[in-house]
Amino acid sequence: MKNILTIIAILFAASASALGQTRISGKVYDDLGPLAGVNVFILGSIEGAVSDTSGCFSFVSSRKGEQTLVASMLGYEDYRKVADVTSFQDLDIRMRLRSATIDEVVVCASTFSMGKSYQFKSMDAIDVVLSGNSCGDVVAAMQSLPGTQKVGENGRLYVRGGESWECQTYVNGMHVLVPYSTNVEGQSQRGRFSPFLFKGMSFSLGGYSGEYGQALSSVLPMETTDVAGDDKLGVSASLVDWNLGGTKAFKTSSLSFNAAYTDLHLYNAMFPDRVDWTRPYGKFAAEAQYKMELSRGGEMKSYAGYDYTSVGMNTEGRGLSLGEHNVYANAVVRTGFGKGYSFFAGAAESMVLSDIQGAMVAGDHYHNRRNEVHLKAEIKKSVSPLLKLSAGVEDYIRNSTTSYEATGYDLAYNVAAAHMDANVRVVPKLFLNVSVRGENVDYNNEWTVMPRATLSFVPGGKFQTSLMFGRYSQSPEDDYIARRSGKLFQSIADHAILSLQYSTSKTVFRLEPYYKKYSNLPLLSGGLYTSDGYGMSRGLDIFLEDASLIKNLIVTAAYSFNDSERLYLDFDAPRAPEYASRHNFRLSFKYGIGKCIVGLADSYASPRTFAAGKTPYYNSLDANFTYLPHPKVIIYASLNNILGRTNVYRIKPDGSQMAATRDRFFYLGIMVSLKNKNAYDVSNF
Amino acid sequence: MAVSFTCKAQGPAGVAELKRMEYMYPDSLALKQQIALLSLNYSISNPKAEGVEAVMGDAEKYIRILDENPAADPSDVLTLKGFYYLVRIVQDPAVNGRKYYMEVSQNFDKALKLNPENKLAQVLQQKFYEGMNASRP
Repeated sequence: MKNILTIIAILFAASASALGQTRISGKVYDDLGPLAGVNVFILGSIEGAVSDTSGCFSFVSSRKGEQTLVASMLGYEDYRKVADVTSFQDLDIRMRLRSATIDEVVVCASTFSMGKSYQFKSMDAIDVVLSGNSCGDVVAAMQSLPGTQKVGENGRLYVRGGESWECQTYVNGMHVLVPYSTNVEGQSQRGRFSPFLFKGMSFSLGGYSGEYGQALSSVLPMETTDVAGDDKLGVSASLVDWNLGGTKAFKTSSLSFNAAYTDLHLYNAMFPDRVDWTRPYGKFAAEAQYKMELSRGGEMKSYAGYDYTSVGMNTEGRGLSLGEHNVYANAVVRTGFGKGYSFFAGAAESMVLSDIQGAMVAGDHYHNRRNEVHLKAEIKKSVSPLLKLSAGVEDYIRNSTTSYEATGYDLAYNVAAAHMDANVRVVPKLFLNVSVRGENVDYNNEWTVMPRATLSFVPGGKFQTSLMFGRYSQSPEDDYIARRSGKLFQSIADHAILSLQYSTSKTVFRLEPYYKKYSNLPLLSGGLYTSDGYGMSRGLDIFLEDASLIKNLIVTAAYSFNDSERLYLDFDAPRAPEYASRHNFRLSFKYGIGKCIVGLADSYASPRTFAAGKTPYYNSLDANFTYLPHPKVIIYASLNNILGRTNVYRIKPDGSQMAATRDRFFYLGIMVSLKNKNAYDVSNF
Repeated sequence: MAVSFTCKAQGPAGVAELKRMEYMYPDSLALKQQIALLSLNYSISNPKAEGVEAVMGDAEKYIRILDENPAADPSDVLTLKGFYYLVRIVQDPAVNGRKYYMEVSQNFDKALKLNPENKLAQVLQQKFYEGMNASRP
């Protein structure tokens, strides 16, 4: 048999030679062994073959003399050999991996990204709406991530031992002065934006680049959806809120609107809580967007939103009545120009008017008006696949007027800033981001310079690790600036973060120890605020998400350990801030069964320490259920704190407890697309 | 979508042949479109075949190149993008269905808005909606 095959091979070679053709053959390898699917060919012709599973290739060429043999495959450097064509026999070709360029690598350290643009976690607006106990609140959905802390009395985002005001929100790159809807203490403040506005959210818990300032702990940049391709109209209704919205699509632009009304009268009548409401929570919101595609892939996006919140209760012997108007508008333009340049410019206006009767004692009156204009411009240049540069300038123009009985203040100040960033591939698999940001606060004429750097090792595939250092600053709250003693410097936080991540198509594991050192925190001294406060926060965040255990089941576990201590505001000595709990843990399961999706989640936070005592631990077991009866209808229900545990949020100075106003919260809602070509798309934007 | 190049082979072998032509005509947008289209045609017919990820990698690479080239027909590029995500959904409907269906829909919608006569976008969009209606939970 072997002799027959040998004879056939000789005859074959002889016939090829007789026809003036040369047989070209060989084997292709990489560092791991034989490589299949490599395109091997003679340059300048279509003569070639693809290597098989054992790395072998063979084809016949009619070319004569000196030729260039090329072996090419995605992810590898091209192999080339120049020689006489008759020598291309029994070749051994070793392929080298091509190192990723900057554009091909996404560094995920300290960032959780949601939306189609990002690879780490595929969570879109529907996931935000349907996740655990969020009830459609972006802020509540973020609290399922490690690094966040449970502070039930206001529901805001507290990140890695930082205050809630250390986390700043951006829409399309523009700052939002007040991203929360107001409420009375003891009640959660929800984020004021519908998750359906956004195609992507990128929650960064530290180590962010020079583009972002005025944020000591974290930033939440959110990108609105692109120009709509089709008209939409939708409604939703639940026990507590009602919504109507739609979009009119034009050839290269779209106009969207949305109106929502929230009212707890009916809900409180059906499920009374512990509060003596004089006016249950009510909120009216309206928003509009206009988006336009420009040439060269550019876009213009504009947004305007207004909401009015009203709530009243009897508490601590007085009648408390709160009303707040919140206006936010922004417009941004992004466009490319020249060769590899991109330009961004934006303007945003935030205004909040708050009125509180019975704020501290019966019959008093508190009024506050805050306004901010944010201007920003940035230019980016891809110099090469190994280097990207960006530079930008921005200005925050702020004023604030407060009056309480016979006291008050008028405050106006300006924060001007500039930044430069460089992203460079140092050597294959090693990426460096360096940035420097400078800020000037005009009430001090003080400059703050903030260098930042992130070094990432991305060997490709499943693993990446990053080391981040950076300095971050933030102006103190208006109340502290207005009552400052001499110069009140910007507060400073120095971050050091190590990030280790392993991910496959169905599993993500992340481990992040961090350390933050605070300085220039506002500290009350003699009735006025100085910059003598300081603090530190250190901890470990662990995140695991897995979809491989059982088909249609996603398991998510997030654990945070935080040890923080600060001397600031009215503290007499350094101690753990009252909002911080050392351990936060959340475990959730989401399972799809036919037309239904069932979710179960448990959240735990260790006791919080106050001057007058310690709270018990926090625990809440939540369930949610989604039913998809029709491509244009989604029915959603959730029950928070199934076991009915009375969670205590804080210990007041007199030793009494502030508990949650209700032990359980039941939500039932229906979302209907009245006009939408897409199935299961209940977004009106 | 204009096509000036043809190859005898189909699937990965056909893609390989077109890529050899690309070395001869590196500036040809039509070749790049054809490579992406052939890759996606093969992948949607053989979503779980061995080596399909390499083929999809080729499609993704050439779609990106076309997307960054101002001379490429934007309607054709959007069609290819929608097709790419459609293939991803076919490969794993349970995981990728909800993840990418908006991508598919929006890309085809935009492609047809720019060029209502785009036959490929029309056909693929029709196939997509048929598949969505057939596979809804």
